[in-house]
Parts: sequence; C-alpha cells; structure tokens
Amino acid sequence: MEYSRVTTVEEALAALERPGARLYAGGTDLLIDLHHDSPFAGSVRELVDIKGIAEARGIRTASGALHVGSLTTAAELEGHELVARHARALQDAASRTSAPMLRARGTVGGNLLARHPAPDMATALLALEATVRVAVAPQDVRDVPVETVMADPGVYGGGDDRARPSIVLGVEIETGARSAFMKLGTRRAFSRARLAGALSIRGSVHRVVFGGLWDRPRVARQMSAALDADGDPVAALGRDLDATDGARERLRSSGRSARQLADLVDALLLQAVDRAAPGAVEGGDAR
Amino acid sequence: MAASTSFILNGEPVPGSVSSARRLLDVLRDDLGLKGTKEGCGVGECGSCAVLIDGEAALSCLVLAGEVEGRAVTTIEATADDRVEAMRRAFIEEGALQCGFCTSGMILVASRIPAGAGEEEIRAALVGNACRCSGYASIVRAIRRAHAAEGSPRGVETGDTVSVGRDVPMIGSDARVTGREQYPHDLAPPDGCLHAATVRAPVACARITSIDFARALATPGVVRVLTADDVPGTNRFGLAEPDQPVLADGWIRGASDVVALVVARDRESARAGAAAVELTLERVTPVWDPARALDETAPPVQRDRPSVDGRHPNLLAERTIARGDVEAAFDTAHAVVEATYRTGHVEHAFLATEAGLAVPSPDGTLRLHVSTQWPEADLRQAAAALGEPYEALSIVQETIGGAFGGREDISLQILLFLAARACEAPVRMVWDRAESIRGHGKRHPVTLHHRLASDAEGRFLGATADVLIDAGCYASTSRQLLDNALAQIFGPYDIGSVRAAGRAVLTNNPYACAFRGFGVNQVTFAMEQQVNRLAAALGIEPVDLRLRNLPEGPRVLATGCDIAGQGGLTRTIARAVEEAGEPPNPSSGDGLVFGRGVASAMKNCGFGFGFDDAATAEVELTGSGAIVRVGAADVGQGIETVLTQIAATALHLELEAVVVEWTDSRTCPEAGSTSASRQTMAAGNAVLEACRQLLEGGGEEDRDRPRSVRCTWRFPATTALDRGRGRPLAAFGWATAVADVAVDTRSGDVRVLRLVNAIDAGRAINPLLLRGQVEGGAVMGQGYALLEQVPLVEGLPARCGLETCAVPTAVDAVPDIRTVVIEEPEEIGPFGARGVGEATMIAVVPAITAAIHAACGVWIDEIPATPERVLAALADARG
Repeated sequence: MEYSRVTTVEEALAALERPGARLYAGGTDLLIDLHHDSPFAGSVRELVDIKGIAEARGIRTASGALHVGSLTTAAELEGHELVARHARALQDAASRTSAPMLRARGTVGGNLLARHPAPDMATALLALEATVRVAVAPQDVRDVPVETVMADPGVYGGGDDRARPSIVLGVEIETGARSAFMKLGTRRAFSRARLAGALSIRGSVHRVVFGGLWDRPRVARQMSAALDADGDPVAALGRDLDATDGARERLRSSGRSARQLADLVDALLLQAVDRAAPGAVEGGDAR
Repeated sequence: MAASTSFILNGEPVPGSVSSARRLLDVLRDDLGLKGTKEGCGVGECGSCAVLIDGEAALSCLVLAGEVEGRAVTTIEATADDRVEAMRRAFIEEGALQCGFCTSGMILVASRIPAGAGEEEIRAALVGNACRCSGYASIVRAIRRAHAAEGSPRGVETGDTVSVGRDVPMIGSDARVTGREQYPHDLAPPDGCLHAATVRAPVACARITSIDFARALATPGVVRVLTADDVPGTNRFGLAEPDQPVLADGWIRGASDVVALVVARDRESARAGAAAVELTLERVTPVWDPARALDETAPPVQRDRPSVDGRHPNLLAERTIARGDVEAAFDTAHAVVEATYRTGHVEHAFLATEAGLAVPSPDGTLRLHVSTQWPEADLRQAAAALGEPYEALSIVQETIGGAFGGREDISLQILLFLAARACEAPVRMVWDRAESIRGHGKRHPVTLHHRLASDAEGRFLGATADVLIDAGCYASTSRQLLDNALAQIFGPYDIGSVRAAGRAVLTNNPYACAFRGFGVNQVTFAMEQQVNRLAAALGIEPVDLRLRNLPEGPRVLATGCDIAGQGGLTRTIARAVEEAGEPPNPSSGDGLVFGRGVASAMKNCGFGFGFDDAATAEVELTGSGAIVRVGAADVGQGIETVLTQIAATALHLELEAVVVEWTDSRTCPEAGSTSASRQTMAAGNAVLEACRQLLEGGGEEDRDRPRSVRCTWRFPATTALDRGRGRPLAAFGWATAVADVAVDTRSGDVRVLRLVNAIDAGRAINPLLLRGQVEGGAVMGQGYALLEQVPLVEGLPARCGLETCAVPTAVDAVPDIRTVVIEEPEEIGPFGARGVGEATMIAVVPAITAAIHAACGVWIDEIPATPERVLAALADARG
C-alpha cells in the first residue's frame, strides 16, 4: 500500500488512472473498510490524500446558493453560521454524526458517497435538493443532482473501474429553505441511523426524505406532494412505501409503523417551521 | 510518491522515517514501540487509540502516518504536557480507571476539554471514548477535579497500618495513566515469533464436507495450517463439560467455531492465509428458536450428544423446585399477577479484545501470556484437549482489560498452545473487535412465565415460574446458570408455596456464558416486575409491599437458600429511597412523562451447588514486609489492591510493605475464578487466615525471619439444587435501586434522570474502588434495561461492533448517579466484607422498567426497553 498527496484536481484525476488508486479524505469509511478486509480491499494499492485540494474546501454563499466544499468536515459544519442560516438540516445531521474525533475527520464528500441506507449528511443534502459539483477533467466540472450521485455513487465517486475517474468538489444548496433533520439510532449519541428523516420547505414546496427504508435515502414524493397540497400525508406515505419493494419490511424490522414515520415528519415540520425563514443571500459573504 | 515520513513525537523528532501508508496507530505501537496507545476496535468506535495531533484529539486508527508529516503527535507517554499530567492525577484520585484499557485515550481526550465545561459538554466530548467498567461518572468527576485543580490526594498516610476501609487508589494506577501497563497485545514478539489467524465459517450451522488449504499453504509467509486432524488430545473443551471442539471436526454449530488455524511469519500473512482456506459446506437445518429447539423432532444441535431424557435432542438441563401447595395458594389468593418476560443476547464488550502469546520453553513446557478469569480452569481444559500433561502448561496473566464473565470460558488459549507446540515456536494472536464479539459467549436469553399470588394485604402466598434458557450451541456453564437462576428466582421473599421449572436448551445461536449476574439478572427482572405489578394492582406502595414480605432474622427461602437474615437488604431499601429524595413531577407536557421505580436484588457470593469453592493463598514475611501469592485474577475491579489492604492491615504493615503476586500460575496458588462475586471473600479470607497464622506462629518480633504460610479458605459447604431443599448457596449480597425516568410518549424514548444504587458491601475494604464497581454495574444495568442487544442474523452477530451492540456511551449513561453503601457485616467475609461485583447491576433493570410504568402506565416485559417496544406497549394499552 502506498500513500500519496495531491493538491490539484488535475493531480487527483491523474492519480485515479493508476491501478488500485483510491481517493482518500477523512478516511472514516475507507480505512474502516480496509480494516474489515471488505471485498474491494484487496484491490487497493494506493491511497491518494486529497485534503490539500483548495477547490474542494470552504463554506461560502454566492449567487443565491450555499457552497460547501466536499472536504468540509462534519465538525466544520457544526458551528458554522452560514450553514445554520441556509442549511439547517445539514447542520443538524453533521452535529448528530458519530463522535467528535470522527466528526473532525468525516467529510461531506465522503458521506455523500457512503454505502449506507441512511448516511446522515447525505440524507439532509437530498432533502435540501443539493447539486453536486463533480470534476471529470480539470476543465470539465459538472453539476449533478444529488439524487443522481446517491443513486449510483460509483459513477461519480472516483476510483471505480466501471466509471470515468471523477472527483466530487462540493455541493451547492439553493438558499431560502427551512429545513430539519432527525434520526433514530440504537443509542442516544454516536449511533448509526436506523431511521432518519429530513425535510425542506421552500415556499409551499415540501421535500421529505427518509433514510433507512431502502439501500439509500430516498425522497418520499407522494408524501411531499401531499404536504404541498394539504392532503393526507399518512396515506401518501403509504403509497411511497408501497412504490418500492422492501420498504415496508424494513420499516417493520425497525419496529416502527407508517404512523410513527408520519409523526417523525410532524416533528420535523414543527422544527423547520419554528426556525426563522432564512434571508436571501446577496453576493458572497464568504467565511 | 511519499513512501516514508517523519513527525514530532512527544516533543522529539521521530528517529529515521516510517512508512506513510501505515496507520499511525501501527507506527506508534509496532514501529516505535509506544504501547500506551491501545487498539480496542480499529474502526473509530472506542477511542482507546486517541492521541493528540497538533494538540487536537484524533483517532490514530483512522489516520495514516503520512498525514502527520512534520506535525506534533502526543501520546499518553508524553511527560511535558501539563494538562495531560493534571488529568492523570485526577483520574487516579477519583478512581476513574479500572481495567485501564480505555484510560490512555480517555485521558488525552479529557485533557482537551475546556476548563469550565459543564456536565453535558464533558459527556458530549467523551462520547467517542468507550469505558465498560466505570459507568463514566468517576471519569466526569476526575475531569471536573482536574479543571478545579482542587481536592486532596487519596491514599493512606505514611505510617498508617490500617488500610482496610480507606480510599486507596488502585495499584497499577501510575502505569495505567502513563501507558506503561502491559496487556497481552503489548508484548514484544520474541525472536522467531509466528502469528496465528483463525478460519471461521460464513454460517453458524453446517456440515463441513472439505477443508482445502493448499492455497493457504502457498500464501507467502504461511508456515502451517492446523485443522482438527492436528489436535493431539480430545480436541474438546468446555468450562463445565467438554463439548466444544478446539478446531471443528465435521460440523459448524455456532458463531464461535474455528475451522482451522493458519500460522505465518506475520499477522498480515496469517490473515491472508486464513482468507485463502476454502471450505466446502453442506447446509444443515439450523435451530434458532429455543422453543422450537425443545421439540422432540427438532434437528439436534450436537449430533454426538445423548439426550438427557431420551426424547428431546437439544435439552441440556432441566430443573424443578417445588414446595408447598401452589394450587391451593392460587385458589385462595386475593390477587394474582401473571406475565411473560423476555431478555436477549448481550455482549460483554470488555475493551481489550482477546490476545495472547504462547512460548515454548527449553524444558519442553509451554507458557501462555494471556488474560483470563480462571487460569487453572484454562490449563485443565487445554491439557485434556491437547493431550498435554497439566504440568507442561502454564499461564502468565498480563493486565486484564475487563472481563465481566466473558473471559471465564476459553477463547484463544488452546489455539495458541496448539500452534506453539505444532510449530515449536512462539506464536501470537490478537483478535479484532469483530472476532472478539464472534468468538466469545453472550449473556443468556431467557423467556420466563411468572405468576405471583397474594392475599389482600399483599402477603405473598404462592408463585410459579417457567423458565426457558437459550444456551446456544455449547453447554458452557448453562446448567450451572440454570441452578443459580432457579435458586434465586423468587428473590429474598417469604413465599410459602412455590413451583419453578427451568430448562436450558441448545440452539445454533452463540453459546451463552457467564456474564455479571449469572442468570440472576433475568429472573430478578421478572420477579421484581411481578412485585411492582402486584403493588400497582393492590394499591400498595412498592416499598411497603417488599417490607411486608421480608421478615427479619435468619430463615430458609422456599428455594432452599438459607439467607441468614437480610438486614442489609432492608437497609438498602430505606437508604435508597431516602437518597432518591422527592420523586419527579408526573408530566411536563410536550409528551414527556416522568416516573420513579424501585427494585431490590439478592445475588449469591460464591458458586454453591456442592462445588468445592476454595481459594489458596501464601503469605511470606520478608525482612521488610510481606509477599502475598494468590492466583486471583484482577480484571480491573481492584482485587490486587483489596488483598494488599487486607494483608497490610492484618500484619500491621504499611501498604507499601506488601506485594501481591497473582499473575503466574506456576508460583501463585489457585484461588479459583474471579467470578460469582467471590474473590474478595475467597481470596481475601485465604490471605487473612495466612496472615493470622503467621502472626500467631511467632508474633511481630519474629518478622525479620523469612517464613511463609499457605492457607486454603472454603465457602461453607453447599448442596445440589434439590427441589428446594438443602443449602444451594452459601452467601449473598443485597442491593436496591431507585430510578427516575422521563418517557417521551411520542418517540418512545426513555431517559434515566437519576439512579440511586444502594449496596450492602458488608464492609467497604476500599470505598473508592467500591464506588467504581457500584457505578459501573449501575450503568451496565441501565444498558441492559434500555439499549443492549446483539443483533443476530442466522446465528451470527451482525456487523460486530460496540455501536451495533449498543454499549452505552458517556451520553447514554445516567448523569445523576448516587451510590449508597451499607455495611451490615457478612459473617464469613474478611473484615465483614461481601462480594458486590454483580449485585450492583441486578436491581437497576427492574427499577427502570418500574419507573417506565410509573411514568406512562405500561409494563415493559421484554428488555431492552427500546423506543420501539415502549411505543408498541403504549399502542397496546390504547387498544
């Protein structure tokens, strides 16, 4: 195994051309997978440390959006004023992620690409309808809906042999949403979510996301629409659950009912609505 | 490409350079020899590996060495950090360390918590540092003490020869807070040392058709692959009966089975070799459900085991207790309560995983460096399994990183003896957390149907209980646990007519083994909940109901237990209630409701049931003091310190003049297992008696003449559990817990707000260490009540980790924890002391479930009382 450091997107993409190279930032998933001898561990020859890539760092607002670099750690999100103002669900999720020493390492980018049914920050980003900035070449940076990235993280995660090398630079979240995140784990803190819920409200448009019911977090579209139209959210949630195989089974195995999921959404609504409406952003008040 | 790197370590540049791609943890421990940084999980869940990087706490298991190039790394060995030093002192003075395995990481993280941080902030900062011993309360106190820079050092002043009853910091504290304490993982591999790795099956139940290890043998570095054919003895072991194969011979019966052992020149090669072993398995119908396992037609878990009754292939043991006319009691009863209780598998989660090093000696013997609760039992099993003379094997105890019953059974001991003999070389093996959870037993899951009848005044008239215990795939001590549970199934109460029937049954689930409380936890949860249920049904205060059924004075319970009075128990009830103060208000709106619960517990000290329960100690007077030799395992509870205090006090010596040696099975007489809350009494009495004989033999004026006395002390004789007659158990401890909880009726979340744990210690030999036991037991009880259960997928623990098993964090542990110590002398205890290690957690569980009922009106009959179960119970109650 080799360790290398890169400081530019170009170097990172070039590194990914080398056999067995994996991009490495916080390492909280990657090193654990290596420790467990997971199936891909044997193919990893080189860990490419991307923490020095300046383009993938920082939190700022510009052009009506909050920009969060993919290398931003959960700890950095926790206390950040701009995140508190414009992406509260993301901040809730970051502050409830694992434990302080892991939060100081784990990054937004890593969480987005995590193979888990309910990664905290990614669940919140899905509710916030984030756009992911992905570089597939130094001059070819694409904006990809977070849903697309999460549906198939291999495509944009880099290092996967079936995809073109790419690197996630950051996420953009349109400002103006109220939002909230909650999760239920086995312990009061430092617990993976067995069920997670995130909600954003933009004007009268709701977006409800659940983690833990499928192999990835998903938008509960029927329920979101029912909330928009003042319909019956519980009935709509039932349709969301029935739309995919296994969701009801997972819900049952978590010991919860659809009614309790709806209660979770009620709690998210209360929390989100209680929060002051975020103001529009003018210019770039970088911090 | 950076292949190597350098950094500043504890203020000095690292000499030379180290590999960039290695984990910082490995570089520190293996390349630089700093063993104070511990590996408890390797996946960031335990915090034992914490170091400071540029002054910030970081997990060295999740940092590569290349990342710290040019940066300052501080480990527990550092001597120049004032904040670390202040924390070290405070940890010692508050008794905030027990087994010590978490201590280095804990101290480093604690040292960066800002002074002035409140309780909540401190606990939030510690959430990634697991401690299984302390319950976190003493750690929080230590941090506050360090921040306040106040408090006087604890200990015994020079010249003081009465140390019993004093707060003496644990012997070995200095080594634990500086990283010098040596666990089996920390031993430097001797020249030519080989490394072993196990091969385990991907399923918990199968027939092995073939084991192909050609590819494994061809793996670079691999020296040997051992299978059942290479085991020269019986290839069987087991603490109570030899039914477990050292290496599987034909069948996979459960998670802990090892199919083959790969020995290689380094650990990585051994693991690679193990991964290359190819198994061909044939599916066999498994049995997971203990009720189904009882069927006459159930597939047998152990095909070579004769049925105990000729009909039920998986019935391991059956016991009954019957006294009086139960039916008549129920016919005439004013009130009857009836319920079915369920408990699950729980993981011990000692912080130091299993590790050991076996070394052949030139004289042909084998010496094993390991951590175990009962070295001689290990040696007896190993000798038989391997066909070795008992004298050919010996054990050196390295520091024990927690046990809680989970190191009483064999884990890797025999495998290491086998490998060292087969390869004629030292062999080392370290299990990671996932293998640790897979490789040792779990707490027994129990299903218990209980009925309790009383008259109108609440006097208990009769009780029945039907108990089904899931023993898992091997017997271990499940028969003994069934005895223990049945003997105490109706608590300390006077009940004229009882009937109890218990069965332990084999399944393909993980084998169940000793775990703090040894079956009494499960039956006490049921009995105390029944008492609280009856109190609610009759409208009688739960405390009053208990007192009505606890007459003073010596008496024999219906189960045969001669409890020689329970004055201590009634005092724990009174003092616990007093200490708890005003109960919380019932409701605060917002769906939050509050309640208080009370429960009591008895717990045997010593094995009982006819076992010759003895400890032997040797005390030698030297010119300047005394050496005590006694093979009592110090698992972090502090028995070494307690025995030092007993000997020093008995011999009128200062503490420093007494040395207790307990680690070498060749020189330390057998003291039996460190379990069953027995060691303070057994080893303590043996030491005390030896000291007395020394004094009687010559008086103090002869102290300059080296002499030694060896004494054996035995618990009073006991009898087999014989349908409620005889004397099954010799001595008991008593406890009462009061819990205040808040229940969120919307989410089902239960938060423990206050926990009072009152214990009758007989005599507190060392109040500082005693408090650590009481608090640690209380939080373990809280975890058992609300959180902990090992998720199994077809008999295998799923995603084995501390988080998955829901081991409580500092944030989960109750912040307001109050210890009350009663000292009602135990007639047969040294200085009146009785064992308390287990009684500390037993009453906590039913106290919490009673508090849940008081808060929201539902009885939770299956633990853990997860939010899902609370919500389901609330939904049932609403109809």
